[in-house]
Amino acid sequence: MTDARATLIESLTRWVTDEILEGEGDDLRADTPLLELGVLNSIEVARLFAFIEREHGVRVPLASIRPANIATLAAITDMVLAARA
Amino acid sequence: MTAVTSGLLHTAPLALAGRRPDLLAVAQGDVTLTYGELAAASERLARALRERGVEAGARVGIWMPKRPPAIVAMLAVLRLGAAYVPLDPHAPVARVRALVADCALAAVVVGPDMPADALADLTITVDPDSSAAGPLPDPAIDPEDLAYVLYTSGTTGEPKGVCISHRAARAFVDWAAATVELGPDDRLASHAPLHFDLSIFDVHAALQVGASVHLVPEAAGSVGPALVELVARQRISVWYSVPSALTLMIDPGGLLDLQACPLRAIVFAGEVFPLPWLRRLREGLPALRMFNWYGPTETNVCTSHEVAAIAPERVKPVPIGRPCCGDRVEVRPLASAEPDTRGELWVDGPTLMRGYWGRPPLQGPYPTGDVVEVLADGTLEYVGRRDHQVKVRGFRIELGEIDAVLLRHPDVRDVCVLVVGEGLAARLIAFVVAADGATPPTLLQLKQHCREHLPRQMIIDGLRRLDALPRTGNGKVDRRALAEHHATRGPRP
Repeated sequence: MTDARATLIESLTRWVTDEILEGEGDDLRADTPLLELGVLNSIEVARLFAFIEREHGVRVPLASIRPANIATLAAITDMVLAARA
Repeated sequence: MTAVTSGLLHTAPLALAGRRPDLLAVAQGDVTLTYGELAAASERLARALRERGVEAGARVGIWMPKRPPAIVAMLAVLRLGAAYVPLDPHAPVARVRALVADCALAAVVVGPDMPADALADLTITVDPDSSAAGPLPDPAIDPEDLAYVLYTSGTTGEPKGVCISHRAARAFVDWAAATVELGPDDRLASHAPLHFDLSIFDVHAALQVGASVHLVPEAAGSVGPALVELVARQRISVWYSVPSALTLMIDPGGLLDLQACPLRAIVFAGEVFPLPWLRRLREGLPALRMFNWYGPTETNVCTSHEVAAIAPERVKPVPIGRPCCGDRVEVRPLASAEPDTRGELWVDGPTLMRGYWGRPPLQGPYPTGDVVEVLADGTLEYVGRRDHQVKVRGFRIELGEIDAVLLRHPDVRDVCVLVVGEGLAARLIAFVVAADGATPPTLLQLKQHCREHLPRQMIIDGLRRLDALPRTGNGKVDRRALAEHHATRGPRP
């Protein structure tokens, strides 16, 4: 795992833990199914990408956000790294 | 001895006092009252109340902890043709004063452990040991006259006095005694506080048939091992309580391991019995008859279900059954989108209240505020409170269904799900008590569990772990306290 990828996953994990799971994120993993478990809904997705732009300076084109891209933290990270490249 | 009018709540116990005065009527620990002693004590107190001006048609409060003198006071008030009004001995004095004023109580029988002066400026207070000379008047009491008034807290928080006539009380009590096949050999535990309608069964059904009623001391009320010890020591044959008391009797009380268990029937009401616990009870005590009774204070018990073996594949709570006591039910769909097998339960019939004190009498059927499902054979299943049926993110959600699913998680002992916040910020918060010895489940684990059994819109959003759910005086989950807990602890504890 590259440093950039590890840093990004750690940052997203913390944000989801603090902002959505009310601190209950000890067992949140990169492959936890976020949509299936109702962790992310459309409002949370918009907040998450606002955070990514503010904190990591990456603007993800909204048109590229599809369920498959945001199903897990790993998928979101891949999308953000691709948008940054 | 006064002449006994028929069809009243106190007709049978007074007749029994004449026929079989030595039969045990009321017991608590070493304190016992036979039917003869109960009748004599209630006559003394009735004379004292009469001397203080209490007349037929009046209302008299009873303000004391749950002890034998409270039962004496009930009978004393009834004998005068008055209605008794049990006042919560643990309620703040301001609330008790509000009820005394609302119900225009002619007098209050105040136990020695209560602050007697607290009501002295509002009404006459009478010591339960009071006595007076002279004959007891023998008022003509009509079965339509009020027997008691029970104050409910009401969802709005404004207490309302539910007025029950002798006829309505007897409609329930007589049905209940016949259904549970009560006889003079039975020994009933009385667990519910006297201001709560569950106590009507154990106190009055016992006294109708010459059985004895064993008052559970308040200190033991929520201590599982103490309740089981009481069952064993007092040789209780019939137990009636809210399900939460029974779960405490199973664990940590050890009810299912009790040697030579004297119980022959268990009745529960007031809340949904979590199915995993009821299954343990049903399978652990296979010889007992078990009943699930349903009914708000306003209707008294109006449906009943006898719990037989529970199918292994069943996941829903057991039904509330079919109408009983001669009551009639009607299910009115709440929205056109709902299937016509589901809707609010309306009840009419002989057990209904006359109305709330100080308000116009009830006309026609009573809307319970409870949502039920009608099965093909007419059996009713409880779905949830109409006001717990909430809309979250546009979806209509029944919080009770989420509770039932979470209770199936092996590490969950008790749970209550609430909606916190409004509109787009609304979140489903689960207040969870972990099973004994279990590692408390995480939010994501419980989300996964919801995902396996519920539509996505019913997956919980947040989790609070508690050692026990707060309960109101009558044993129901105190949702207001949970909401306050959430508000004061903030979204992140």
